[in-house]
Amino acid sequence: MRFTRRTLLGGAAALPVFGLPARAAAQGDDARRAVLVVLPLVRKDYVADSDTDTPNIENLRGDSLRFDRVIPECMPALPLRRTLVTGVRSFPFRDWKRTEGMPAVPGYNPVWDWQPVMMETMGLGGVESVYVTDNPIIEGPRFGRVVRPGGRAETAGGETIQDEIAAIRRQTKAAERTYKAGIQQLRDFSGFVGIDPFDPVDAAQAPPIYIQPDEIEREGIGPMNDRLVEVDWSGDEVDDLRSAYRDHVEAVDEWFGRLMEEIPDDAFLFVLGDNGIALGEHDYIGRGTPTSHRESYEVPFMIRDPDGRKSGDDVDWYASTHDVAPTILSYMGLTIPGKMWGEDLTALLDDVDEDDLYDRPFSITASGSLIVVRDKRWLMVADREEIERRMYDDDEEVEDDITRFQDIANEDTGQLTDMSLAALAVAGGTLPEFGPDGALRPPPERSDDDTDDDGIPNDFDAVDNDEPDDSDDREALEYDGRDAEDREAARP
Amino acid sequence: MSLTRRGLFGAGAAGAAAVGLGACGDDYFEPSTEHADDAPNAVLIFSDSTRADYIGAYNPDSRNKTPNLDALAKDSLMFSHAVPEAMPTGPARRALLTGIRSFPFRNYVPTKGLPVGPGWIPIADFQPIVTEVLGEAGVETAYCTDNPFLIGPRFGNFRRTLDWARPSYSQGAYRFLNKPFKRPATRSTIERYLLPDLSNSVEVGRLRAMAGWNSIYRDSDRQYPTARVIRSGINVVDDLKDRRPFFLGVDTFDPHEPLDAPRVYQMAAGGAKGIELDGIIPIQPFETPYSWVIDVDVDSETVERVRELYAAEITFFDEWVGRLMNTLADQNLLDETVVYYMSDHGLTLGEHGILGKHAARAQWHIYHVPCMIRHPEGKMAGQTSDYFASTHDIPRTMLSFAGVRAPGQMNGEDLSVIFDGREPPERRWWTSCYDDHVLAGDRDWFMIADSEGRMKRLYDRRSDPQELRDVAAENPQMVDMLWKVLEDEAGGTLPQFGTSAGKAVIGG
Repeated sequence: MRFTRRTLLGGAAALPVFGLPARAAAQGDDARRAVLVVLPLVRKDYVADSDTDTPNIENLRGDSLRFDRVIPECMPALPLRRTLVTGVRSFPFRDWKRTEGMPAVPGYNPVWDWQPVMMETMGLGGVESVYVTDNPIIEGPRFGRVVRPGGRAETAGGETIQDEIAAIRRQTKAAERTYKAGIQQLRDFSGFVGIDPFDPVDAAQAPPIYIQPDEIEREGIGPMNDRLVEVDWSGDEVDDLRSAYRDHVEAVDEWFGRLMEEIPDDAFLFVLGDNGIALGEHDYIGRGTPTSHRESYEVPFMIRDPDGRKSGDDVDWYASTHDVAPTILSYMGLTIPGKMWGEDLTALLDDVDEDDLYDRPFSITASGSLIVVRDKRWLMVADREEIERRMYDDDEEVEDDITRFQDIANEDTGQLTDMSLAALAVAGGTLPEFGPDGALRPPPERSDDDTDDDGIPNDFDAVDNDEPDDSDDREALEYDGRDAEDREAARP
Repeated sequence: MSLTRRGLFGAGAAGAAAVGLGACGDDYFEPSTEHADDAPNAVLIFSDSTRADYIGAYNPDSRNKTPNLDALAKDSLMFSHAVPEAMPTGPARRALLTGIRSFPFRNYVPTKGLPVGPGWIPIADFQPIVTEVLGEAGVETAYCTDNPFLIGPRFGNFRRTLDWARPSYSQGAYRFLNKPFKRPATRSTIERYLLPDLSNSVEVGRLRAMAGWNSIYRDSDRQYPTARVIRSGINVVDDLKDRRPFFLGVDTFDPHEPLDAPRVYQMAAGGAKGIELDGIIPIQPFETPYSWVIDVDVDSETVERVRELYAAEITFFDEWVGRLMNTLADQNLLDETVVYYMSDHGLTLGEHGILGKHAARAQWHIYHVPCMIRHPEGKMAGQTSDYFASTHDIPRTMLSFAGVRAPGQMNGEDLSVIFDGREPPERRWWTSCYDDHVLAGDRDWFMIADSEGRMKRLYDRRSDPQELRDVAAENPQMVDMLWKVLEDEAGGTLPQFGTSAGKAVIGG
């Protein structure tokens, strides 16, 4: 029989008495299995690249529903993981509070207790879960069973390009040990297995952003939370870096191949990259850099349905990390917690057209204090107050075009405004500003406007009952839709 | 066939499979997500300004009779601790229609055509509207209301999602929010409703518009706004019953002030007393949004009369709810329809010395509202849940019953799981806001504060259910915790409102 989310709910077992904890919707013979695999630091363009040998990921691409324009909704690795397991957007990091043992960079904090957790929802629904990762914030009873592959936070530098090469190699090691541990967990599992390679250094240090001397002033985008490192790199160094990165992608693919051998065909498989990396294409080297041209930041993102639905189809819709948890929960037949922001992408498997998914006109992401908004053509990078904004014509159809790297913010202001407003809308109305210890709330405009003298400072009264506000004249207060003359005539 | 939600989802598979077939008819209007084959209808009954304690099912000692709502409650799962996630009318409606929390009003900008104050904005373009999502899934949608905001210029995007929009412009006192009434009554006409202390207030204009309107259109009980709205609902059922599944919203602005139920209901609620003995019926006993009782210079008997007039409004509403429910029963629709009833906020009727709605005193009489869901099969009938159900949960619940995926932005919970014996995700605290005040609480505690957090008042509801004694000083830890709950719920920080004329958000 063809399995859909709804038949699954239809098959739910006898109802328990009201008041007992939620039970399995997916238990019994109909139990469904799902696997989540993260490809650490893998750029989408390196997967389909003829110079890089990635047969295993490419194989899976052929069997999967593929999302072609995925940029994580926040960067870099640590905040991104919060989104992944909570389904709640971390953008724009309004919840950031400086946390012991973590860098003072917006986005670096644990999963808060008020956020839903995918594995906890599974547990309440009676679905077993295992999560394989070295990520220190995935810790505690809410995250189900967590398996540690045993990575340690090595001392990380961040002064030279060689340090970045070392960081890439640490990611390779993380993939090796995590996939290895994941293979153990995949043997005879039920429910959900998450395999998420993570270099513990990424929780203790925000990745540096390398930039050529003098570029900072020219770029003018701000201090980037002290992450900028000035390095006068040579062409050879960039070649070494790219070669090291290619080795990394190939190593990840090789281990991913071994992992794939253990993933049963009847499991729902979600595979995605965490974040990309800039390799000197646009004056920057590093992760979560100020400009996010598509080749540096688009990651692989694919769903393999056990019934093969939509395999090989491509989707342009701007899916992102926060869609992962709702989609997996929906597939498992569990009710998605309302606080999860993402969309349920199983809709696409049920023959819903991507144009009929809920409208998401832009891909919006945050990296530290930066806001990045893009669509298939335009790319906007702005600071928190959206005062310093840059815009690029990052047209997909144009390859290696110099215009892609020229700031044209002053030329197409209409587009810039649309993108700025979209970021504000997704952020709920305002973008937070940050102090050294967390998101700031601006001070009140004045200390007391207890205009009606009822002893309650600043209690806003839509219509003041005793004394008008300084700024309100009597006319405004009395306005009831009639002309002043009519109102005057109505007076006794 | 028997209709269960489980059966419903089972059939949903066929529904999803049938999407392809649907395409043969018309390529341009192919539903994006088809509703389940035997999706139940949804009837949403919503009343403004309704306090839970004036409904018999919530308060056996209620001063007025609400036999129809009580009967509905007996057939329904009743939520004993429902709190709107944001108040008053405008923000609550937005959450009700979009399924997205209006709290904490971070996106507030002063908007022409709506009152000035945090929360009063239209539905934004990027927000989903439940009637739109239902409509795209092939559900016939209808909404009948006299709510001056929903029928006004700023909610056109909502009305355009409807197959059957039935606006009623019968709230004379609030005509100025859309098309001003051209023939207001004379001053002498309204003298019998006007408290002497409000004789130079904005209420004069409102009462004149109301009385002017009434003098033209109101010749029987059937012409009162509540009756007009519910009558249009009853009429539209005739059309909808052949277009199942359907969604019907019946949203009455009453028992909002002025408290002018038909005279026979006013008389049934009590005899003339207080200022009414001097010939003044106190149907508008405060200057909107509120007055201190001492400022309007009325005695306790008059306050008592105000409560009776309010009770009369609810009884009148109840009477028409009965007629609507009878219509659904007569058309054999009740066993395939989920009926929801809720309100957006209450009204302070002399408690704490206030008449009206004071943001800084938005206590139990304001935030405790009725909420009930009647399952077509009678599941959970007569049972009570103490889950903190709220306005933004309704859309997601409706979509779930219809077998339609909810947009991810809808951040309410799916309450339909309760009928399957499961529980929605835990909601340890409820949070809400009213203008620039924020509210938080649970079954034992209640805190209200201005959004600056300078004046935080805490009440221990176990020993002080009337919320009279502020115990914030004795319980600083509880105050801090509830404040943190509010900040967390707001995503990390509460927004900062400006104090200039528009009071727009300046950051945070």
